[in-house]
Amino acid sequence: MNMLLSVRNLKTYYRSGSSVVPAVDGVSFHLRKGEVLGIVGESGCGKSTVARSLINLLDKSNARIEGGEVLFHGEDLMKQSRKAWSRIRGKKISMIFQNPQSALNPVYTVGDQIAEALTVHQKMSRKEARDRVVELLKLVGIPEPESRLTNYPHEMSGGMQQRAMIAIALACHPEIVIADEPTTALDVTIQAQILALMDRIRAQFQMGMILISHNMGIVAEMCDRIMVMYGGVVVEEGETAAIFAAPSHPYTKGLLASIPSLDEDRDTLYAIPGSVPRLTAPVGHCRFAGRCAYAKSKCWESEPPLIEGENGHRSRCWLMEAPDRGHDDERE
Amino acid sequence: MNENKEVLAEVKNLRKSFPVNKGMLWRRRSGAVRAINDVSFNIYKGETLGLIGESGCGKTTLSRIMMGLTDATEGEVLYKGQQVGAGAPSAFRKEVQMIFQDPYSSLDPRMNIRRIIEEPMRIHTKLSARQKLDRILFILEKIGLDEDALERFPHEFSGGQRQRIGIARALVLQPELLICDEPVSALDMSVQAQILNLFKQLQQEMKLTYLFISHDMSVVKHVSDRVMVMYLGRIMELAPKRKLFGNTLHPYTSALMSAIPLPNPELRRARTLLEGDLPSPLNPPAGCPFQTRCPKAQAVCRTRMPALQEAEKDHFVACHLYSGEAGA
Amino acid sequence: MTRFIVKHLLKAILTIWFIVTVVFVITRMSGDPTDGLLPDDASASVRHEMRVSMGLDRPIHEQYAEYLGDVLAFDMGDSYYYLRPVNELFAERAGRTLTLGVASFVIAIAIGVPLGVLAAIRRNSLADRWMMGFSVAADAIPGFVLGILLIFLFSLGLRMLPSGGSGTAAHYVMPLIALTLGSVANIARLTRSSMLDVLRQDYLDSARARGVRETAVIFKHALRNALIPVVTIIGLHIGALIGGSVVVETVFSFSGLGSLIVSAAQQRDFPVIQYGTMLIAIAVTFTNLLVDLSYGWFDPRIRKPH
Repeated sequence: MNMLLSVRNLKTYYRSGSSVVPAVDGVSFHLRKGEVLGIVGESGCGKSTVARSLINLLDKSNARIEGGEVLFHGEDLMKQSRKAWSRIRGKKISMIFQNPQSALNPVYTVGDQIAEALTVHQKMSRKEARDRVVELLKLVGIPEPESRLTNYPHEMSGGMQQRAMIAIALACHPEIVIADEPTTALDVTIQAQILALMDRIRAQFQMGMILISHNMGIVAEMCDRIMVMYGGVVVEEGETAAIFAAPSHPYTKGLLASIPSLDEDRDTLYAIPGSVPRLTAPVGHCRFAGRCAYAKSKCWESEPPLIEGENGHRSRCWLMEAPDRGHDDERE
Repeated sequence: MNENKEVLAEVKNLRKSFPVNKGMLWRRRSGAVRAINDVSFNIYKGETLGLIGESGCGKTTLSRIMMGLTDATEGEVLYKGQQVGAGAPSAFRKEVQMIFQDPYSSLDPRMNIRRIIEEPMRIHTKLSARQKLDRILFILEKIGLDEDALERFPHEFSGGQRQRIGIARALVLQPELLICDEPVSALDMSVQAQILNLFKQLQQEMKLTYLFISHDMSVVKHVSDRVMVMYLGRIMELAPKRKLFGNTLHPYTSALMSAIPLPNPELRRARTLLEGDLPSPLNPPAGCPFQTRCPKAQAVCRTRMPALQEAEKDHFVACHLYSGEAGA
Repeated sequence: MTRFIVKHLLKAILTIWFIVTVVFVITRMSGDPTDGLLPDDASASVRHEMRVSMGLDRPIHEQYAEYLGDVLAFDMGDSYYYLRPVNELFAERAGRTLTLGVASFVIAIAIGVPLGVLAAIRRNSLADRWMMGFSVAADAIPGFVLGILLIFLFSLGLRMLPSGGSGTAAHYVMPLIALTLGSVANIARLTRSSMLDVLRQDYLDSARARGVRETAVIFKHALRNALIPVVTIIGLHIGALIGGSVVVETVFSFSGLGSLIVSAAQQRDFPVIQYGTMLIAIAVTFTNLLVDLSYGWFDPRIRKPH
């Protein structure tokens, strides 16, 4: 069924001093053609590390992929050479970053940086490259593209910078775009523009997209499927509609309940107690147990697997193991 | 609702512009950024006034002027009837406190928590050591931290706990008005709710008044009694929360609300997307600052700034649609 | 751009005028040049006659006005000591000093920058640690001490190079090393720390993410940013280089401008001192002007402020 990317048991650990931080600790998922997968979670949950592992941009001095495979067209991306990576990145898989101002090189023009995304992958004349850049700038909705391409990043607004970053990511029509908090640095009205643009372009080119965000609203609007991450693992996964209609993991439930709503008035918000824990490997219990209102002794004794519910909706919680569900079938 | 309310702070025709200089050898003034442009409003005792706006709307400058950290170019801020500014009375300095956005950089990393919370009392009061400790313990309990936190240092706490410490420092002088500048934007979602609840609880227990600045509409809606919307240095709309959200008048406010992604996939809706960028405060458009992006802009909007006027009871709006100038 | 250059040129001329004036006043306050030029037992009337012939008996503002007029007419006067036009004296020696200075400058950049880049990308490797160790040592040894050590080693010990004088290419080797080693170390260290800063930037990851190869990431995307602060320091190096060449030329009895100016200072040879300092001022201000201009090339945020 048009599987684009299939990630199995990915583990990426950070070493800091003598302790090992299991930033990503056995994450499995897949991405279909044309699908938008949301990865949502709070700081330190591992969502950005997943993104950086997929496109091989980890800081080699302290991060290491400890295991797992990432299958893309039948090949394991984790086993590619440096040279092979420079043919994959930008051409097959590209990335949109959180802060466009720091993701654009200040000393080159925006046009040069978009053109570079083209010329590193295919031979073309200056004229051809320039024409393509103008086309791309039009595509991402930058007005007066002919004059904008000689602009340096600092001469553009944040919204325009992010449009330029999207043009770079799209230059070679990649099959997968990874967007890591693409609108977090932008104003609300500009964020709405960028999200609409990403949605339009994804549909137009039928790309698969992995959208990483801490914002429940953004993933609700943009994604077909959602993975909720906590402490380096996926705690809940399913169709967007199913997750928002009936969240099953206590963490997801808590998160949704803690967001102030525009539609209704509540005097106090539900608040998950405590704060995000700092874990060290190996972890032998449910990572959310310390903050969970339903935690029982079993949650401290062993870590639950992702347990399947209805319609492929899965949740990493022993509560899912209700008697009427019968068996737990983990497919990791 | 406001007639029987006591005015705590009053902002009158406030303007603030920053000169922009050009030239190296002979610097000359080439223009000015108008950060705040003819802003007037009241803050009533015991309320939470929410202030919402995007970058360049003037919210940070406004909070700095209200704290007496910078002077206004024109107009004045009165706190309990007395002017706020460089020579403001010390009562003002005690009674108006600020809570910052970034819990990581607003606490001195070399001071332990006891010293951080104690410092404002050393500057502003003549309390004995015993009295100071009593107050610290009282505040600590209020904000939900244990006594053993006192001898520890900021880096030992999480972001949410640090923001609690920042709140404790602001509360220890028993202020009346708290100016909160994006106090939850740097926090994780699950922690944000804790801090928002804390703000509400403290308000009831300590009879606090808040000016609550945020870019997050749902947060502002949750905490505020009244909401003020700013754009490019001007007030666009100011109304009690229910009126502002239930009967939005200004096109900019509607656009802001429409732009917020809602955590409910069933409500994916057709947006009124605003086109174009926020104009630069260095070179603001003529007339109404919003006219370049406003879906309802008319000829008059391009030439004249509409005055902020009471369109309905307690509901103020600065838009020609409600001034009778524009054809409907 | 033209406005930028004109403005900076005006500033440079102002700076040079200021320096020339200060030096003029200081030389007049430094004492009587006839002390060194006449025997100790020369009579007062002989001394006075000599001062009159040099124009030193007149009030200082008259002397200054005449001096400025001469400078504008490119007349630099005659040396008190050599009794020849200062222009000629300088022309004879300028080539040697210029060769030494330019070579030192070029070598310092050509070695220092790559060394710094290498140390930064191999951070904490053995090569990096050696580089840093060498750099601290090289920076700590003053040029003249290094010069004397070199003479011990290569001239007295190995008998490979002449210990002093000027003329052949071999005469340049040791002065060049003595003059350049500190600069190499300094530039390498600065490049390293600036590069380490840049290597953390997001735009390098974003370049990698679009498929740019690692070598291009380093040399195209990182280096140009890393050089922005280095360029400033290189500008300051010109001043240090001129100061260093005075010392080094003396150590190696290298007959260049540096040694000429030093002896002129000892002899109170005012025209030589004045011309020498003016040339130095011109060299320093104009290289700084070049640095400012190249700054704009390196960093568009300066060229086109928003």
